[in-house]
Amino acid sequence: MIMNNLFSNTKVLEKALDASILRNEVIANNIANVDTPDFKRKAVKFEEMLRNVVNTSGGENGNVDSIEPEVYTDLANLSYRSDGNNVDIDTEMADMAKNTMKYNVLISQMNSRFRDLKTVMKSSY
Amino acid sequence: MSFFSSMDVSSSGLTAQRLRMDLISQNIANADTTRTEEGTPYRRKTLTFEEKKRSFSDVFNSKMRSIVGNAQDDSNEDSGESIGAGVKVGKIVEDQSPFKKVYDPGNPEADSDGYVSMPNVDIVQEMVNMISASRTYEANVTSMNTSKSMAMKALEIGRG
Amino acid sequence: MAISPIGRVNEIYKQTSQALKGTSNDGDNDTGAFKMLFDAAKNVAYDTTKLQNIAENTTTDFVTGKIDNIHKVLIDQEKANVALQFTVELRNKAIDAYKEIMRLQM
Repeated sequence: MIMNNLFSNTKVLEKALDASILRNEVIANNIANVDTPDFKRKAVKFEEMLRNVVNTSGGENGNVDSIEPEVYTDLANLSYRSDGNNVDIDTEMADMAKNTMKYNVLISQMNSRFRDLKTVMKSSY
Repeated sequence: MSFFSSMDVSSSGLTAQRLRMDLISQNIANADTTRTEEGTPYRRKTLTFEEKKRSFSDVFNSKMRSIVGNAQDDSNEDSGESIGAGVKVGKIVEDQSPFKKVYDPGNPEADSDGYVSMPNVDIVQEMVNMISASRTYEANVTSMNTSKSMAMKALEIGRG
Repeated sequence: MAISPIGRVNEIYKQTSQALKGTSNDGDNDTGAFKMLFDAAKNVAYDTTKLQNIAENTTTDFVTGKIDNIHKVLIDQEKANVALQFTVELRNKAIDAYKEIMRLQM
């Protein structure tokens, strides 16, 4: 499909956007459950997996189709709380802010890509 | 996948904390109630939180979508564990700790020894809980605003 | 090394113009160039239709509440738009080339 070539550098961005949204929901769930006894916080693993693929297969156009963001439970019990809950609300708020910034940057990038394509097409020689 | 459901999660947190606030205000208001309908002094009420799990139909639908769905849609819903759907109130229970006994022989409620049983409400404890509930409520509001701002930002794709 | 969008679009334009110059590997020299151009145009049109169908399906899913992934809807729509724009530009260039050829034959 010709069009696949046209849009192949947006594939990584799309995956990252999906992971970012998933992370937002997971953090919202952590925050909502900050008072629930025996609740363990969850997190999303995506960037490391992506980094591995990009490093090993050379560049952004590696095979990113098979990577999916993964939700895992953080069982570390380093919290000082006695009700079995290991959510630290300040960490969660900071993660949420970071995630939002990342999402905004990704959207900007995606927009840029589309604008570039349109610019090339509009210019006539 | 998650824009609107993350708002549902935040709103469940808001609802739960608001219910907790209601109980706290009831406790504070009734801190001196020595006789309720049952004839005993007011017992402090408290609640338990539980993580709300996604309903079977939600999980089933999302799995079916990822198997049967659009041929171009190669995204898997929930690889790994499933995210919860927020928090819900488990049950509202009465605190079974003993009543405070205050020596007040002039009180019409006093028993034979001159002691009055006061509700087991500790105002300081309730104030601390109130601050905690309020702070958690604000955190959930921030979470909801963040989800909304991300959704609005997504609308900028293709604009300009 | 990422291939830039300019490179990509130019690549496809180049393939099309090569088809016009008759540098195809088709055994039949008379209709080889036009056939390649025609096939390229067909493929591009087919891909555009496919992308537009995907965009429509995604939008329908969003409207009926099956998915609530806002950026997916917008991205699919944008891809369909870009593909359509590309097809139109390609068509224009092909028609210009055709007119040019018809002028030469006079």
